Amino acid sequence: MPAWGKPIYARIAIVYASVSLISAAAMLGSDLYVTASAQENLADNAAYIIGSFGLWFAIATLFTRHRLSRIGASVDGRDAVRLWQTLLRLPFEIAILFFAYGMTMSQLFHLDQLWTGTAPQPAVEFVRGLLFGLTSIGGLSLVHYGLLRLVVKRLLPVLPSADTSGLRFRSLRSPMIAAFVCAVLFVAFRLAGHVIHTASYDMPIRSVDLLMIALLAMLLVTAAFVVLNVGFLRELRDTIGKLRQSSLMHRGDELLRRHVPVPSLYESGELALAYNELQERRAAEYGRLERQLKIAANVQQLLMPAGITRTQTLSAWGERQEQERVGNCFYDLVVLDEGMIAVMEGYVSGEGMPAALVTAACLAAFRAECRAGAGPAEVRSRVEAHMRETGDGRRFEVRIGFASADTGRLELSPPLPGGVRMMLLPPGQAVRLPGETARGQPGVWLLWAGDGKRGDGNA
Amino acid sequence: MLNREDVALLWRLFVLYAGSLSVGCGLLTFNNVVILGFSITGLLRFNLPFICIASLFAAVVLTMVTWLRLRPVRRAQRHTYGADAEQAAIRLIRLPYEVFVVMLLLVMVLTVAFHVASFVRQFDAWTDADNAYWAGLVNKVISELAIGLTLALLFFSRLRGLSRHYLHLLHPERAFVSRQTTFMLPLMLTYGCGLAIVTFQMLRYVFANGESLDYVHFFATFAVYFVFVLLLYVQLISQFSREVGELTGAIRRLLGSERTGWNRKMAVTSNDEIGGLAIVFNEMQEGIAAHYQTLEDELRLASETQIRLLRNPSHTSGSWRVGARFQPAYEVGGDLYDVVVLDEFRTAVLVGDVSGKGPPAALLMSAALTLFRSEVRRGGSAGAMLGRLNRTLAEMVQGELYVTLGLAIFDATSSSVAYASAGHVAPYLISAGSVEQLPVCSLPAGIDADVSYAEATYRLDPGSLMVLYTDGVVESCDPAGDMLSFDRFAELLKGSSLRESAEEACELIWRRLPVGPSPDRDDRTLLVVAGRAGAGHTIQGGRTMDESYLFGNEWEISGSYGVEKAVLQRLEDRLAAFGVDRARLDDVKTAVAEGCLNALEHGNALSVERSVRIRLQGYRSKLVIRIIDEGDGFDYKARLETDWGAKRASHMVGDGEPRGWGLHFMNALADQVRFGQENGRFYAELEFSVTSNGGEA
Repeated sequence: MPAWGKPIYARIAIVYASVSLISAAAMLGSDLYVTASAQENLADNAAYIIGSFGLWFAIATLFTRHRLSRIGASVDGRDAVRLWQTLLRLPFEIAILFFAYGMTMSQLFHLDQLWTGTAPQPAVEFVRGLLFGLTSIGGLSLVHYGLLRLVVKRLLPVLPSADTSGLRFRSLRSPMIAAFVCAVLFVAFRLAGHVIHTASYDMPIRSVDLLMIALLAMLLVTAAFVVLNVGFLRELRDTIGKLRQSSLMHRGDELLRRHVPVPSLYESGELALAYNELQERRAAEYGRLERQLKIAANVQQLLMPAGITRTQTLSAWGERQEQERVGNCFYDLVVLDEGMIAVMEGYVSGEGMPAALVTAACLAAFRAECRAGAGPAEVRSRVEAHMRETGDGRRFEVRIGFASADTGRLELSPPLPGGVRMMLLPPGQAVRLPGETARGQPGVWLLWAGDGKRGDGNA
Repeated sequence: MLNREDVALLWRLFVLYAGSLSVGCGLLTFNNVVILGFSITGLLRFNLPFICIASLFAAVVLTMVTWLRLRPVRRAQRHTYGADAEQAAIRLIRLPYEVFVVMLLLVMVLTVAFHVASFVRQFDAWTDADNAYWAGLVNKVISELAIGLTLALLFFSRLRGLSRHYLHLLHPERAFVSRQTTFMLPLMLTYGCGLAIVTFQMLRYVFANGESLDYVHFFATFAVYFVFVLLLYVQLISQFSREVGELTGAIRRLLGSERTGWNRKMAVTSNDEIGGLAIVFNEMQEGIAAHYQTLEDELRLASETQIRLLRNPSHTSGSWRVGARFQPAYEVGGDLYDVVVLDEFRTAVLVGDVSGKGPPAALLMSAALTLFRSEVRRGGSAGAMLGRLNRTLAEMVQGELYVTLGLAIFDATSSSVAYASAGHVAPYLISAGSVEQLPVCSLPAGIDADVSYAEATYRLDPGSLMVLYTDGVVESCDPAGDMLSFDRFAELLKGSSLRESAEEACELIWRRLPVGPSPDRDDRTLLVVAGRAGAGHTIQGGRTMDESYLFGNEWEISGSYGVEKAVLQRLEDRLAAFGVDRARLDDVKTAVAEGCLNALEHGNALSVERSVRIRLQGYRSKLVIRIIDEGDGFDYKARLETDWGAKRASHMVGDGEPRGWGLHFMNALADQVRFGQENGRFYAELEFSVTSNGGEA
């Protein structure tokens, strides 16, 4: 048996022992106080009942041990769905086994009574025993089922939604209705059995006896009924608890990655699975979006020249901050000829993808227009015309400059407003240039930067 | 004043109570006949009519009381489940329990009140002989309690169903009662009452008929009550199972919807485990929605921006009608299209598809679209425009991304379309029931800056359609997962009636495209272009153009005198290849040279920032050359009325105006000279009749 199976095995053994003890005690009590004829053979009956439950305990524990060992041997921890299915099958197998075993032992006893007993109507007695066996043993099977489900639930692995498409879920109507039918029939058959039994011995029916039988039977079946149904409702409560815990402890994508356990093959299990599937789908979708926005940031960066743009006489270098996300600031450097580089820097109002779409349009418009032989003012006016057409009504600002090695001038359009800095480096000190035109000299860099207050990122 | 909802509620309540009381009457009659041994005839004389009338009265009273109790529900209905929803939900949740308790208390009080006198009287004069009387009295009390319990349980079960119905309509989305209960409460209530009813009735039968027990009646009593309680229990369990199933179904529906619908909330229809699940689910939905709200907003805005960038093409673009449909696979897509009216007769239609999907593709789509809008202003043939666009794009993306583009320039004067493709899927021409896929083979734009794109010209007869699309259309999958493919798309196009307009044909084709879940869905764009009825095939002057178009070229110059020489050389090469005879070629060159000089000098003021476009269109027996500048034009009517003979005479004596001969030469050499405005630019159009020796078109 695998190590993980030992604690569960111990718990299951306790369940078998407890149910066997309580059931044997109830049957003995019934023989002692209710069934008058049984009192004559009380010792034999007691031995039979105790022996039967003892044997059941041995069979059940061995069967469980065998099952758990097989689960450990055949299912490695990675096949979560198979482990989950095998564990959930165990309570059902035990319930069926108990029913088969219980009915066999019960009918062996009643057959013995039929042949050797002295009952005036042995056939009626046999039928009564059969019906009683069906309801009481059926009920006890359901009790085993309910209790074992509570125990194995702790071991159930969290199912990955991808592997669960083949799972078929059932309705818990069947076991709950079966439990109700067993409960009512058990009480009814106890009452009917007592009436028939008493009448067959020509004894008067005492109201007190009937009331006592009814009350005791109702008490017993109600206890069993509660055990079974609490198990079903616990599944839902556990799911609620897990959801609430996730909701309180996690946020965002962490929350989406938290799956709730699928507690059964009934509605609650299907619900948990559907929820996990939704979370998985959401996590995948939002993951995709985040990835795509990162790729979009790369694409946006790709549209702006990286590194140094050189001609034989000029070098230009541009950079945009906030490269992790798409932004609303942009720049461009275009070599017009060996002695001239066109420079653009600007921003679009808004942020994120909507603004980035407009920045891409602006960059394309600049690229298309800057080579038309016009000066910076004309290029700017054409770019602005494009932006008015495709700029989605967003506010934008562009500054375009043509750096010429021939003239040693940077001609700017429009003139620098107060918010934009342009500095000559390196004279050891930064100098702000106020004019429309800046005159450079060999070995001197001109630094041109946005003021960083105009949106996400700065060029 | 009762509205329809009020009447519906009243009617539902009355049916519920009347139905439940009828079942109660039936069970009571069964008890009287089977357990107590009364005759049916005797019962029909008084008991049954009395019970029925009393039940009817009780049903009316209970209906009215419940209806009044559910006032908040009615108010909520009137206000479309608004402000009163919470109070209404509380009333609905409590209603089954309230009615159950009230019914049980009423039965107990009435039973006690009915038997109290007998109890007191008998208790005062107690003797052993009275044991039988006591047993009978207990029997009666049990019987009445059992009937009361039966009715209470019936009301409880039915009202629970009714309240669920109205709670679903109210759709509360959060906890509306402070204390959560458990489903064990109605479950144990139904179970306990059911067990008690069956047991009580069996006991009662035995107590009533102890001496002469009839097993058939005994088991019939058991069977009737067992079936009755079993039905109630099954109804409750089914309700519970259905409610859990509804939660699962709601989640499944969310899964089936688009991402924007994933944050919808569920109705909290109870304060038990089901309600708890719905509440915690809704809380999580809120948390997740809040966390991703910024992202969702950003994408929504991006989608809106993209739609505005694409702008809905005018259904009537110049002489052409265009139908367009665009559907991005996700919020934003990489497909692009544009329709630009070049002049009264010519319309350029672009369709494209950026590699990749979603936001990254959308950025490049935006850039490509702007590049196209910029290049289309510069003019040129479709191939030339694509070439320029490719060059700029390749510089921008450095071969890391690419865009497939298809550019068609429709010309109504020649009933033709010039199409150039940059790796884009081949368009279809639909005419007279035949569907022809145009052959294309080229490299997508953005990969190699030096690629040139060839264009081909096709006839587009009246009634014909051209279908441009992106690969997402042919990759559409049906629900079975089968891809549309080119063959099936061609079949689908065959089915598009030629009588449809471009918009209708586009709509028809779009609706016929398969729509199914596809793991790798792509953006889809479909454009259908057709000539506008009555608009094509005529030009200014009302002359019918019966010439068939053969070829076209476009050049651009800017600057000062002399730049026109390169164009004249190309024009000569092109026309020589076409087989125009030498003498006529000289005429054409001279007239075009004059036109170019006029455009450069007078139109553009010799500015290098302004360009002159020379557009050549070759037909079977004529040439049309349009020279377009960026000037404001001139009073060409007055100039055309100039007396050229007098002007020549004055020039010869040396006192005439030395300028203005260009127009004269153009007029003299060309068969027709026309002037006009195209997209805000002035043009002069020269038409020459030519005879070709059948050279290369």
